[in-house]
Amino acid sequence: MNKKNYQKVTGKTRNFMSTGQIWQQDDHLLSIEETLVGQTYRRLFFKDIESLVLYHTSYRYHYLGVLAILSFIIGMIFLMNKLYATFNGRVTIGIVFGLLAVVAFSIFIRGTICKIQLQTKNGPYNLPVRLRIFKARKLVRKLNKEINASQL
Amino acid sequence: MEPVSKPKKFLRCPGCRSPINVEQITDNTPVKCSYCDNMQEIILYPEFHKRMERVQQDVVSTGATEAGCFHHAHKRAVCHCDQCGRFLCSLCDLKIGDMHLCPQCASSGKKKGKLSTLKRGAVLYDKIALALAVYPVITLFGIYLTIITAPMSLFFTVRYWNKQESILTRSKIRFVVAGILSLLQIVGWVAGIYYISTRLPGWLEKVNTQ
Repeated sequence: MNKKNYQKVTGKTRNFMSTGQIWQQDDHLLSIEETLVGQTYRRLFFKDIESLVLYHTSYRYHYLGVLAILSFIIGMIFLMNKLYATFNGRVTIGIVFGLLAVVAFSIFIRGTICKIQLQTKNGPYNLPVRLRIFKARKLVRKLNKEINASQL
Repeated sequence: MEPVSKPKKFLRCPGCRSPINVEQITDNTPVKCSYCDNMQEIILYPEFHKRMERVQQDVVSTGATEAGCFHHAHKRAVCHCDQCGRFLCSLCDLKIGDMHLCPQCASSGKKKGKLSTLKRGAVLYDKIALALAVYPVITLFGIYLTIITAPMSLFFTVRYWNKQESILTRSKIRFVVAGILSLLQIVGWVAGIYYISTRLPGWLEKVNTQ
């Protein structure tokens, strides 16, 4: 097999103990799950793909929730140490909460996080990646052409 | 004729596994799951609609002039195995890349490693070597383990330098870093043991004289 034939389709998505990534060859997608010691492959041939589901998750709100809890803890630390009493303390509080607000805004503005499920005759398969909605739609548009062409 | 279960013409929600009515799906329109309320965009390809027709085609009995499947004589053959030449129905036909194989040839090809497209995994020796070189150092008491892990890391680096199993091209940077770190650790241990062994008689003499 020619190793150079594979083209990267998505970046790496970090999961709990592994990472996931999608590569593409002329006639199939290669889904790779990588752990500390090895890789697991799954090939999804274009002509076998029956349907594709973009599943809108609520991860974005989970991340915002975690950020809110973090902000609360940081706020409590500032309050307990009475940092608001001094000018330098107020500047520090402003910078820290400003940064948190920027992070929260970027999480929100980048759109819903999607999972992708492909169905073949062997059953449904969840790709091990999570993509923002814009990137996912772009990927689907690209795959649509390939899949439809191979199933004509 | 064997009873064949018809394929279900609906999909399942990836979130809650409940059925989605395919009739409601129109292109590029997000559909709301009626059970978990999550939005999903569904695209159906021609293969989805062909499945029903294919199963119905399968159950057609073979006529006197038609070839039957090697394993299911009552089913019409749709192709032949590219390795052994046996006629196969669509149930027995395994499409692997451009090839049509019967289950036996696919199985033996996988065992013998002849079919590279059937490779389902690879061991990443470069990551193992790097982990052996790095993790003991960054853990608190793990540094004492480097007397074992450093030679192991060096072994993996040398042994598998040109034998990466991954089907994708991987750089050798992890091997290089692992090799350098493990060599440094081995040199450190050798220097430490040499230092202690040369100084030990002197220390023992001091203790004895006191």
